[in-house]
Amino acid sequence: MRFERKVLVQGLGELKGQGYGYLVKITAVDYGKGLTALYFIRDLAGNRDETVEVEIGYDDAWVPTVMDVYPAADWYEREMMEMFGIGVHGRVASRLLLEKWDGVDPPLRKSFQWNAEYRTADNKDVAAARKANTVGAPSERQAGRNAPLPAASAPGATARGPRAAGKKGAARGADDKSGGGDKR
Amino acid sequence: MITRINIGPVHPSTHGVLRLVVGLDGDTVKEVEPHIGFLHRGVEKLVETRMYMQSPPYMEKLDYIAPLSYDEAYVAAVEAALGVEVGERAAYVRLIQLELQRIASHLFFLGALCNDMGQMFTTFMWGFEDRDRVLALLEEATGQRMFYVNMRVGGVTMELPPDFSESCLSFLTYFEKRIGQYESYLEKNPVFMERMKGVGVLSADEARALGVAGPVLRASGIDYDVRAARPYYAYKKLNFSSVTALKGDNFARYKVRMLEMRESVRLIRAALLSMPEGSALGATTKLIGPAAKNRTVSVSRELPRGECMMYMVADPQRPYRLSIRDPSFINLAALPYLAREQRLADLFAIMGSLDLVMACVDR
Repeated sequence: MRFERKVLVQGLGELKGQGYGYLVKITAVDYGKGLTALYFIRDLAGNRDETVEVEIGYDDAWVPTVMDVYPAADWYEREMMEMFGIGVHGRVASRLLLEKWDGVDPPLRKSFQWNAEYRTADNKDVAAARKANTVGAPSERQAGRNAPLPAASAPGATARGPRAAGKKGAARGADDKSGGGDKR
Repeated sequence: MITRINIGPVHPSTHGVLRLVVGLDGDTVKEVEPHIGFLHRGVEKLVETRMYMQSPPYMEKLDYIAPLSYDEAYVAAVEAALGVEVGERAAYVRLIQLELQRIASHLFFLGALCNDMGQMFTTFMWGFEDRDRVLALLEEATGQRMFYVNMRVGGVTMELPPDFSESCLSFLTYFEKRIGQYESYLEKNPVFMERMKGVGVLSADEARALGVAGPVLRASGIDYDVRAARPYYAYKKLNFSSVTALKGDNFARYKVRMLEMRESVRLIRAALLSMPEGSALGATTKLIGPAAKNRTVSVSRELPRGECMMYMVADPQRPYRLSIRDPSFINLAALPYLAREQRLADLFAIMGSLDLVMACVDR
């Protein structure tokens, strides 16, 4: 079943009225020409399943929240935000769920670059810090686990070695923004 | 006044690496915020880069308490994508192995639960001793002890050994008595009962709204078991009946699993006695069968922890996208609701009753 984004919440509400009261999962697929958000719902008593698809473009990748209809959507939506870079509108902003991925290059999109670089939002800081040799052990870089490193000054480039360090920076950043549990 | 304390990420009772930020008023839990992702390996992404039959080992590491079940769920999705039917005998062999794995997993649950509740270590040792017997049987049947990688497209890796039926039946006879011993031992224990009955109650409506899965759902009185709702293999032929409880508290969740073990014993025995002749072998690893067309399949399986749904967008060579719906993930999401207004000491009893495995929460 295919829904337009603007009638998604209403449509799911109607389906819930017809007995589909159980949310199995929310996820998405990147088909290369756009994203599809998928809502798997179920009628437990009648043993029927339904899949609702919502097509969204890369440019305005967002869906409305369905938490009012299905409270179970909370964690699934947070996972989708992080892994697909699909914004979820209308819900209380929450801490990202899994890795506090910062929104650049969502990992489950097909555009994700495997061997390249982990790019963080505050990329400049990481590059500068690496230059000053405070982030990322040089020995790790020299171990040659990866292809030759790009120049540190290349835009949007961070080598694999300091990846963990970069991540740490991103995590800290995300926490600061959300003021989540870490700060309390 | 609310005091916040931090539990984990490394803590003996968090079943892996899980961090909880608990808000307390006195020793009453007011809020719980789980922080997950410490074990996130991006398995869904890794699978996209590998041929179909290179992925089962990854799947097994998702749930290290019941690896075989995850393996089977994934291979079933591959079979659906390729359009391969499972042989008649192979279906029985798989059912026997899956139910043995369920017993092993539930025994682990029992041991871990009692350990969490304050050093009831006897049950832990008993549970592990019996689990070891199951692992020995599975080792006989698959050649491996922990990570089996035993499923192949259309069947399994190796036939059951000739004396398997005998040793398995004698184990079942022993184990049936043993379940009774566990129950009489635990249910007379006031410490155990006090922290089980009426603690962490989840009503049927809440369970449906929170989307919890498996024994947690059934303990709240909702009778949904994939083995009964959409039977696979020989579950229908062997008259599988699902187990439910009504109260939705810790005790109900524990009891559902105990009764499920009894049902598994019955199923294995019936399957061993009525197993058809023939070959149970599947295709070798290199033969990945005819190329899958671009189609989407979604396969549901009842794992020991609940329903797992594999949603796969197939590509001729490798999965274009695999989405795993994991039962532990959504059961953990329900923890903040379950633990609200409970005592801090009971938080771990509640968590134990959910039977979480963090590796498959994070994926």
